[in-house]
Amino acid sequence: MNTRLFGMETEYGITVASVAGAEFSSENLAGELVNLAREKPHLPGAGSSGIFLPNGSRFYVDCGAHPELATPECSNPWDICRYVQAGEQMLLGLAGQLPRLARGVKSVSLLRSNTDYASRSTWGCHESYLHSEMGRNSLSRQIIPHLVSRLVFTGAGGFDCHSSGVIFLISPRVSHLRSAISGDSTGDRGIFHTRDESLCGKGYRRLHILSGESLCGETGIWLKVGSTALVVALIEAGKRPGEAIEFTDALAAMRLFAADPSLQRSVKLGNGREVTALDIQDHYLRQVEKHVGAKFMPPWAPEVCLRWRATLERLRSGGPSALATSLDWAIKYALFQRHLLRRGTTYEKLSAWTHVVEQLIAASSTRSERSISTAVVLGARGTLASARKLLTPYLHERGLVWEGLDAFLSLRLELFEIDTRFSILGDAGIFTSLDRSGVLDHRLQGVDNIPHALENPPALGRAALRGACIRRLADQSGRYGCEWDGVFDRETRKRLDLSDPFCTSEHWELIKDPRELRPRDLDGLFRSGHYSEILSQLSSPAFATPQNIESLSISYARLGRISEALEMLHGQRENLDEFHHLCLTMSIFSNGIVPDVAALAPLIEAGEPLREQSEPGASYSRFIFLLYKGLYLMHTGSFPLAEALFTVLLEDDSNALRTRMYARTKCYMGELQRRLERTDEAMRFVLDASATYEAENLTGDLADQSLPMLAKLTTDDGEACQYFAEAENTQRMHRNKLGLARILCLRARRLQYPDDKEEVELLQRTVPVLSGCPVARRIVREWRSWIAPPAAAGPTDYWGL
Amino acid sequence: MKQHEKTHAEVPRPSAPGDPTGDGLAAAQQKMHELFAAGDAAIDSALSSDSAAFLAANQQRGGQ
Repeated sequence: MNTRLFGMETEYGITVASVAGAEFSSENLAGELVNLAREKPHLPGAGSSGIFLPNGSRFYVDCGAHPELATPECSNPWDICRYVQAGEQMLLGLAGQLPRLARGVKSVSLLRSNTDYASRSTWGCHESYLHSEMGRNSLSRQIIPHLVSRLVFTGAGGFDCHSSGVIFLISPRVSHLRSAISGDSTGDRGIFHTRDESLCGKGYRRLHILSGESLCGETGIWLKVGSTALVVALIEAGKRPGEAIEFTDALAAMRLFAADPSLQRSVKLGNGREVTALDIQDHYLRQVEKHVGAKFMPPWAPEVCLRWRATLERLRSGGPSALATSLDWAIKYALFQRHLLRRGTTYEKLSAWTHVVEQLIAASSTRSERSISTAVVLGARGTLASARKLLTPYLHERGLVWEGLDAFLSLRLELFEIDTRFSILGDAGIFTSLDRSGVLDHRLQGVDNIPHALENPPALGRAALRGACIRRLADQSGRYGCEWDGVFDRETRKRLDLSDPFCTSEHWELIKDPRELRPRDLDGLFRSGHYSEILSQLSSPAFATPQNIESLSISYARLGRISEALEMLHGQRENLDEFHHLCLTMSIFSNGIVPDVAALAPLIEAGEPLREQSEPGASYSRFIFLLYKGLYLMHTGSFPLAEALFTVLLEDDSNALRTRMYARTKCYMGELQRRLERTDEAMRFVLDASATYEAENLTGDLADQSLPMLAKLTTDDGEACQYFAEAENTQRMHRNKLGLARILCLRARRLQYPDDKEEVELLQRTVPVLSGCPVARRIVREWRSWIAPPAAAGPTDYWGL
Repeated sequence: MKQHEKTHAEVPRPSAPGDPTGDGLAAAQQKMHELFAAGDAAIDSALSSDSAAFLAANQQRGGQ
């Protein structure tokens, strides 16, 4: 094929500047960016998380809570640059909305980088290249030398975050690679990734590369994708461009090249020949040039060859400074060099200090650079003093003295900060600032019309069909779902087949396997409290199945939409066991701002005989029934009976396996103990529940149950404030108005905080279950006495909340 | 191929990236001088007074 298709997935770092005391989890922030994007035309992932957009791209939260954008399949390197930039424009717009949505957020920054100096962690920028069937062994052998050496123009530049000193790397990602070939993408990462998931039909494969990096400059992105696509084309055509380059240790070669900004160092190949990274690139380029007019080459191959050739020549003749205004790593190398000069030092001196610090840490008991300082070293005894003695001549030979150690350690962190700030998207980023100053020339003609790329898919390939479908069907996103290889209609149970990456016309076919219609992450969404998202994805009647009914009806109930929850449950009456149906109904009535005891009473009466007759296999239903019966008893003042019931449930080992509901039982028991004024006991139960919620990422339950209870229990107002702030932010991020109203009311009572009255009033009017709730109406009506309870009311009285 | 053709109609033969078009060395030196001036200003404006606190506050978790 002479049309190449490829794409890029970029994970972004995310950080928040907030007012004092406010804390935000990156999961919440990243998830909220995706939630905000759901307000734009989109289709939800049919079997995966996140959403697909009308330009054919996918937006989701990847592991490590990184927002991730995957471009649509592109057929030329200009389009890759355009769609990456379009995605970043969208991200910036979304991040700009967060301060208005989440109280306490001042600004949200997104990082176009791949390493973090504080946690020494990494995240990815992956490339995918479509190719036809060919042996994977041959592919890895032929392409690894290209991946090892292309960093001379694809490197992001930065520092080795595993070093206790300062070591500049052309490609910092390399320090996180652990092998030459690997199938692991989060631990044992390899230069060549063996993932074999084509996301296409038969006859097609996908080369997935995870050793690359996120770049700020267009030239680097364009060359990275252009050159690699041409090498893949060569290999697919049966050529063997890597044949003459056989490393004895590819990873060692890549590490050596990455740590050599002079580009002069060479490695010895298996055949004894010594080559530099530039030599290897020159070798690959010559192979491509030889076939540039071949039928299997894309029409843009000559242009890539020209720029590729020019880049190599300039690097060979002038080193990094020759491209210090266009390639990411070379720009950074020059800026850091300059910054060192301003601080009165050089890379060479940093290298000497790095050696010294590493030796000191090896001799110290803590093994951390944080424990090293001039005072510590000069006052040291034992092994550290011996190391100092040995290293003193080394320092003096280089014109350095121990008194300079603190300045080095401080400068080290400063350089890390500059590198982090370099990659911030938008006006706050140093790269953006340089670009705006007009001192860079990384831009390429043809990388233009970004607004068009923001709204429209590439013209060629299946992305065009996907994008058109998303635009047309977006207002029915509950009915349709999308994946890379298809669009799914849950009502007619049909699928638009996009398994041919070059398809140009719509072909819908009946789905034979109904599992294709159910989002795989429904349980995850429910457990993490994303009830709004569940309803946006699963509102179609096709989803109201016995398997989904609990998650769906409780999601409605948690959002205060009780009548819709009951209606949905009623629709499944025929398909559910009578006792289970009754238990789910009890669950719905237990989810208001306070439980609806009037509605629970007849259900408990009707449920007792059913419980006694229930099958042995109905243990979950019995658990739920008794739990809500206990809740009813607590709210009607029958504390001893409620306590006896909760105790029985907590002592039943089989219940402990149902972690979410078992933790809920502990929360109810904690609340009961609080009402009995046994604060220590109450705290123990709630902290236990909280630990479960946190360990299992049950964010919704954390915000609904344990955090407000902890706030009620603690005697420290500052702590209470933090618990409420965390719960409030989760509820706002999840758009859970009922949960939010409860938190605002409780905070007003607990901290005598008057400011939320207007918002509570608004919520009380707009959330159905609140507008009909006597307690909610009373709180609004008697706001002053709610926030200033008479002393006689005591600390335990929250009107049932 | 519409997007591709549209794009390429506007793309001239590339010069070397970062290629100074003037008098070689002098132009290159001028470019570096401008880069450093802009870099100094950008860094001075961006850098906090406590890099350790900045790095701790912006800590990321590992991804793929």
